[in-house]
Amino acid sequence: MILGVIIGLIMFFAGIPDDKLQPLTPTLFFLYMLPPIVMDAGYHMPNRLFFDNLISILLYAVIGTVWNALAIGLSLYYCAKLGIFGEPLPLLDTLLFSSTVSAVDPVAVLAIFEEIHVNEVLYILVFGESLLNDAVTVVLYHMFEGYAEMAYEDGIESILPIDYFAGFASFFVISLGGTAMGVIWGFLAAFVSRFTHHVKIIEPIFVFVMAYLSYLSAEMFHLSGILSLTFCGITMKNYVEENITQKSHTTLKYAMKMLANSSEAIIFVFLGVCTVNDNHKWNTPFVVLTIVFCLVYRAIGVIMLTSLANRFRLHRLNRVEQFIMAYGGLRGAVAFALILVINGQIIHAREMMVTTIIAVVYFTVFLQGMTVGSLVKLLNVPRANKGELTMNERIHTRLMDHVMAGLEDISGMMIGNYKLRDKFRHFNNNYLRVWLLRDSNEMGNSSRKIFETCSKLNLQEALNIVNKQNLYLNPNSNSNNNFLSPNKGLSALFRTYTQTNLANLAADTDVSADTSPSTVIPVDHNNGFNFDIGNLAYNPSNKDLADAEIHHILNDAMFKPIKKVRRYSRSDVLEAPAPHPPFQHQIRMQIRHLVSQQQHKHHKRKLKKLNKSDSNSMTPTSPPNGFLSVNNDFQFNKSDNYLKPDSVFRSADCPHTDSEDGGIEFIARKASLDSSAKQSSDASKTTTTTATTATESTLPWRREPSNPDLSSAQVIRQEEFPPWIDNKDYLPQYASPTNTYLGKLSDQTRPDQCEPSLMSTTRTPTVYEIFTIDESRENGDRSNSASSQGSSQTNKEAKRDAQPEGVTRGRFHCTTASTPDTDSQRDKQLSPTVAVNLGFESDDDTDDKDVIYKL
Amino acid sequence: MGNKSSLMLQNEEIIAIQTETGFSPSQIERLYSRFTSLDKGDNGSLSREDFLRIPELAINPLGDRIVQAFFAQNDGYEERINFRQFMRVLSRFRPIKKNRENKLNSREDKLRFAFKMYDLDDDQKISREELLAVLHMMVGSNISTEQLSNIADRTIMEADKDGDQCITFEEFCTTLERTDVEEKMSIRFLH
Repeated sequence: MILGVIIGLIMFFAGIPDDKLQPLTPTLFFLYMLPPIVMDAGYHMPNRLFFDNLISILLYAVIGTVWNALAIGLSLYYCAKLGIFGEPLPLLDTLLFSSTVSAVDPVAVLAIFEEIHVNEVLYILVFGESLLNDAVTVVLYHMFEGYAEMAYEDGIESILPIDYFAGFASFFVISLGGTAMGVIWGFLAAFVSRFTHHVKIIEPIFVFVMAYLSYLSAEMFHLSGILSLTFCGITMKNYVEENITQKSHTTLKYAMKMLANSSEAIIFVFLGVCTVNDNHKWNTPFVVLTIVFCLVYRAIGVIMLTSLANRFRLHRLNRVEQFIMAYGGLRGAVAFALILVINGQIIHAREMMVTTIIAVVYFTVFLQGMTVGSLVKLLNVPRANKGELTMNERIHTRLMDHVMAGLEDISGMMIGNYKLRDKFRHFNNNYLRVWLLRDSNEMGNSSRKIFETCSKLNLQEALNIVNKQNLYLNPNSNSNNNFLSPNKGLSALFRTYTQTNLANLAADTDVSADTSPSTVIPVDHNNGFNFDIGNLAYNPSNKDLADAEIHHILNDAMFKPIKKVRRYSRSDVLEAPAPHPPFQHQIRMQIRHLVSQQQHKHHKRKLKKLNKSDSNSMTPTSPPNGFLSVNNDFQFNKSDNYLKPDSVFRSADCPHTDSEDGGIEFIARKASLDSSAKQSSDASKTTTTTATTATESTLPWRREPSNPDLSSAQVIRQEEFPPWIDNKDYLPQYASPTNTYLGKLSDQTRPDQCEPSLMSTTRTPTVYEIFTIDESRENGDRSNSASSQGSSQTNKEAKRDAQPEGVTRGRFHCTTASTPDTDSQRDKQLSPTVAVNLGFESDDDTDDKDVIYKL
Repeated sequence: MGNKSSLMLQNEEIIAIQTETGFSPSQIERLYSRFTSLDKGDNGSLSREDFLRIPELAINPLGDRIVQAFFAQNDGYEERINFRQFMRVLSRFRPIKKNRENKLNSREDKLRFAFKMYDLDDDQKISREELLAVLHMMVGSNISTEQLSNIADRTIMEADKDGDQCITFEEFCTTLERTDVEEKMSIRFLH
């Protein structure tokens, strides 16, 4: 509006002729400006609230508006008669004027009341009134305009009593006809939207066009287009929402909001432009009296009608709410547009009226609109309680509806809201939905809401678990408990997550991963010197675990990379960024690793044969199953690492004194090719070689066999992955949190120990290889090594993306760079695993024993 | 009919009901005429069948339960209920008036009634099965059993504070703290 004033000033001083200074023509306003606003209002009308309060709204909108128009008009007429305005005003002129000024404007009300969040009953009363009384205003306006024209042409005597009656009747015809037209078009639009899913691009267009058609056709028959459009929106909303796709729905919603907002803005700009011109005729008593009458009569009308409405209403409007309703009677663009339309020849005082309307609009929108928010606070008007309904609330509310409907039946109420709603629901489900919906058998509207709430809450809870578990890290609890809690969380997490799609899930973890480094580190501080490496190993929070899982799933399902033959040379390893200079221990480990590689090679060959036969017999699994089984597999691996030290001991037993130098070639990757198959074949062995604890028995490795088919089963789903998965640009900026993490660790341990340095070196691929190969040599631990190899390799790959890699890629491989979030968590999750293995290994070697226990 | 039935209602009885339930005499008379019109056998009491004869109640998914609630009087189930008992149940749904004394229609009474809709076995707990049964009645066959049980699980998990996998009355009240029960569970009985 202020912008409009500025534009108007510029135009005024630029000397643009007056006839170009009237940008807002009636056709422009009624054909293009108003429909988007009304449609938006109708489409986003909270149906239930609206119909619950329909009677009160109608009372205010119809009777209130008529009362306002008549009262203001008559008062102004008598004031004019008394000569206050200095010029005579015929009765019809004042009535015409008052009919425009009496309507509460939806544009202004929507803009103001949406911001201040009054309670919903109050909101719907004011807003619903403003919507519906537009129709009343337009009808009244046309009626009085017609009379005025007749009076102008033939003199006041020509208006016969029949004309008054016709005017009164036309009011009902216009409003009811408009409503009926809107409902018909609404159903038609719903019916059309049933078939538009083939042409998704123009789906939203259909909705807009149908709505606009309802407006135009109603106007064509001289019915109320506003009412038609409002009810068209209300009617089609439920059906259209279910018929069109999610994307179209979003488009529809935002396009509608945007159109409405821009129309609104443009109208206010025009208003501002019109503020500044020559044609004003400021008549102070007229302006002041109009404003005063507007306020007074609105207040009287509201109080009168509320006392009437309260007799029938369950929720009685108290004084404060009545005051806000009266105060919230903002006049706006509709009044202004209507007054501009007036023919200056018929109504002589047109300029004065325009000026007055502008003054009224300025007064109500600026003064009242700006103060109503603080008044709401001051008077302590109950605010809308925001937030989604919980599951319980939804269900219990539904139950109450049914109960009350039943009780209304029993107590013999003729008309009750609940009863009517129940009947409509019945009718809706039985007839309307069948015709108007594509999948009418899916579920009822309200049932769908229950279900939606459920899945929404599921997702939210999943996130909550993730966040909570991040903090819930108890370093002093024993290993079993410590393991179990994340395990439980994980399974819950995945149970809930399977309902949402993967893209969603990835996006969620993306968000939550950002906080992970900061939350993990403080835990280390708390531990002080009582740092137990075992606990550290299972400190990775659920989110970390989940992220790792997701990463693996994504990897599995992605395109298999073009297999490049890469080679790791020893120099590559040494070039890898190491935060500490290589310690003696590290070097020793490297040597060990080389040795074990040699042995691993032999071992693997045997396994390959085994796998081939195994994987052939597998039946493909469906993606969701695959998803779950990955999860199980993952847990299994963790448990294996953590709970069964015996097996790890055995793996550590393997001869590493053999200092045969095979050249550092990361043959472990080859093993990972077969690792998935290996797991299945060795799952049974694993269980037998280790002592079965209670925890283990609950672990689901019976589902292991589905693993080998994961890759094949999930490749199909690759389209679902978010685009950032492929984004290599993430990588250069990526800084592993491991440094910090491990740095903290080393700070807390005594400096004379070499284990901290070992921990920090886990970043380099070398150390990974040690344990993976060690373990995979052992029959019982092969499944274990499979996943750790996988993760180590992906990790390594992420780090050394630019460097050439050797050997064909394994199951967990992908060409694309891992994203930062999955990378970081993998680091964290992985390094503890490494630590455990090393720890147990060195436990076996007597020379390292003290190191472990001190740690 | 209204005149005739109100004649049958003794003045003392009206006053007794009024003091017990808080209904106004005109409301009582109106409801009594409803009562007699439901009472097909003209024996001054209503049976289950009398209730179920109401056509709208027959299609109400919870109709059965609602009728059941009328017959659950004073910790026992009765075969037939008289007008007094009928009124006692209905009085729960009188709107709460701030300045006047509220008998039988406090927020807790209303909640208790809703709670009883679920709690079939009267153990003051909503078990998973009971919740599922109600859910099944309400949403019918639209949602698969799996989804329903998921919803039930979630609902219980959400409300269950003490971890007994059931919703007690206290927990039930807590979950509905934000809801305007007073308004939702009230009928404007005509004067």
